[in-house]
Amino acid sequence: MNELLTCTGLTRYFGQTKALDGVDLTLTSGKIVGLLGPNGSGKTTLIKIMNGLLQPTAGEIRIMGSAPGVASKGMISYLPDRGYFPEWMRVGDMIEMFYDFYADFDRDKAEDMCRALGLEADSAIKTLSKGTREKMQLMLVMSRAAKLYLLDEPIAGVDPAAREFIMQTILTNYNEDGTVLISTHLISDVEQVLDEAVFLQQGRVVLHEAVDSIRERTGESVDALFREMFRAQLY
Amino acid sequence: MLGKLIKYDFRSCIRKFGPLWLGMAALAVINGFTIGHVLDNDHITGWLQFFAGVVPLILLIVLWTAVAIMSLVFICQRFYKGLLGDEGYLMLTLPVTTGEHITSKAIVALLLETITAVVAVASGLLLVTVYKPEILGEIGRHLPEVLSYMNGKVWLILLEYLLFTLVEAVLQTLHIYLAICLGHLAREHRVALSIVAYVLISIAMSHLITLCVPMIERFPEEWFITFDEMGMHFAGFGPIAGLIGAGILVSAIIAAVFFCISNYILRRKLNLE
Repeated sequence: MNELLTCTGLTRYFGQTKALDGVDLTLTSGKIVGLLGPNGSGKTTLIKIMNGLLQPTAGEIRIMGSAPGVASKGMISYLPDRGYFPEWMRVGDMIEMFYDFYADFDRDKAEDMCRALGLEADSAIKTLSKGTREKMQLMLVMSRAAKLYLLDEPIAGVDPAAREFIMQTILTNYNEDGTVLISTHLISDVEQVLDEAVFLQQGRVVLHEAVDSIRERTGESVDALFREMFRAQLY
Repeated sequence: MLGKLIKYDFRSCIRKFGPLWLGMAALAVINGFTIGHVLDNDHITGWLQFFAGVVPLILLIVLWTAVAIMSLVFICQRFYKGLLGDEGYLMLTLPVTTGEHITSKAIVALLLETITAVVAVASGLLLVTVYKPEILGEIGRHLPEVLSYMNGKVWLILLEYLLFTLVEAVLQTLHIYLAICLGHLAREHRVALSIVAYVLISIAMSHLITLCVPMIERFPEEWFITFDEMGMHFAGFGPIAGLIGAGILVSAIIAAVFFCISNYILRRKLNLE
C-alpha cells in the first residue's frame, strides 16, 4: 500500500485538556478523505500537527516516512481555518511568493484564477473583502500539484453559493496523484466527493472507512451515520 | 531559500519605511530653505518666524524620533505577527527552516537600523547643504587636516568599533526575538510574559557586563586615545583592540546562544493556537 501519512498514538494535551487521544491513522495516495467530527473533536489540532505548527505531546507522525519538516512542507499544501495574508502584500506578491518557495506551484493557473475573480496583481490584499481573501487563499493552495492537501474547514461559515465555488475549485484543481484531506462538520456538502471518511470524536478516531463501504454496510449515507453517532454527544 | 525570505522581509520593510525615509530627506530640504530664509531676513519675526523657522525643524526632529521608535516596533511586530500570529500559518508552512526565518528577520532588522541611521545623518547633511552650501566646502577643506591626525591604528580601532556596533545591534534584535519566543511558551498573557522575559534577560546581561568592568578599570589611562598640540596619541593600541575584540567575541557568543534557544523553541515547542 502506498502510505502517504502515518500517525501512531498521536496525543496532544492543552493544559489538562486532551485534544487528541492516541490517534492512529494512515492515509494513502490518490484519495479524497473527509476528516469529520463535531466542533472541538480535534480536527484542527490534528491538521496543525501534520503541518508542524503544533508538536504532539506523545506519539509519532510520519509524512512519506519523515517527521514534519522542510521536506514535508514542500509536499503539503495547507489551507488553514483563518486568513494568513500579510497586510502589506499585494495579490502579485502572494503569487510570486508561492512561486518562489514551492516547486510544484503553477503560476499561470493561479494568475488565471485571480483574473477570473477580477483580482489585479497590484491590488492591495488589505483592501479585499474577507470572502475574496478566502477565495484567493484557496486558489493559491489549489494551484500547487501537492502530494497532500490539508484543507481545514474550507466551507465553514460561507453561503451555499460560495460553498459550491469552493468545492468546484478543489475538485477541478487538485493533483489526482495526491490526497486531499478535508476537515468539516458539514458532511452533506462534501459527502458526494469523498473516497474515505475519518470520524473523530473527542480526540479519537472512531471510524476510518471507505465511503462506499459505509453506505453498503450501514445502508445509510455518511451524513446520516454521522448524525446518528454524534447525536448522543450533542444532547 | 534564505535569500528569498530576506527579499520578502525587506520588501515589507521598504513598503513601510521607504516613504518615511523620503519624508525625512524632503523635510531636511524644506528646513534648509526655511531656516536660511528666516535667518537671512530680519523682517521675519513673531508667529511667521515661528511657523517658518521653528515648526519645520520640530517636525523633522519628531519624524527622526518617530522613525527610530517605529523601527523598534516594526522589529518586534514582524517577528511576533509574522511568525507567531496568523501570518505564521503561511510563513511556518513554507519549506524553510526556523533558523532561516530568524536569520532573515535579524538581517532585515540590521538593514533597517543601518539605513535609518544613514538617512538620519544624510538628512542632517542635506539640511546644511541647502542652507549654506559653503559650510560643506569648509568641512571638505578641513577634513584632510583632521584625517592627518588619525594614523592607521586609529582607523583599525574605528573599524573594529563599527563591527562591535553591528554585532551589538544583532544581539539586541536576537534578545527581543528570544523574549518573544519565551513568552510564546505560555498559553496565556504571551505579550506580558515576553516583556518580563526581556527584562530578566537584560538584568542577566547587565550582571555579565558588571563582571567585566573591573578588568577595564585596570587599564592605564594613557592606553586610551589622548590629544595634545602634537596630535593624537595611542599608546595602548594592542590592549584597546583586544578589549573591543573581546567585546565582539562575547556579544557574538551571547547572540549565538540567543539564536539557538529561539530556534529550538520555534522548532520543537511551536504552539500556534
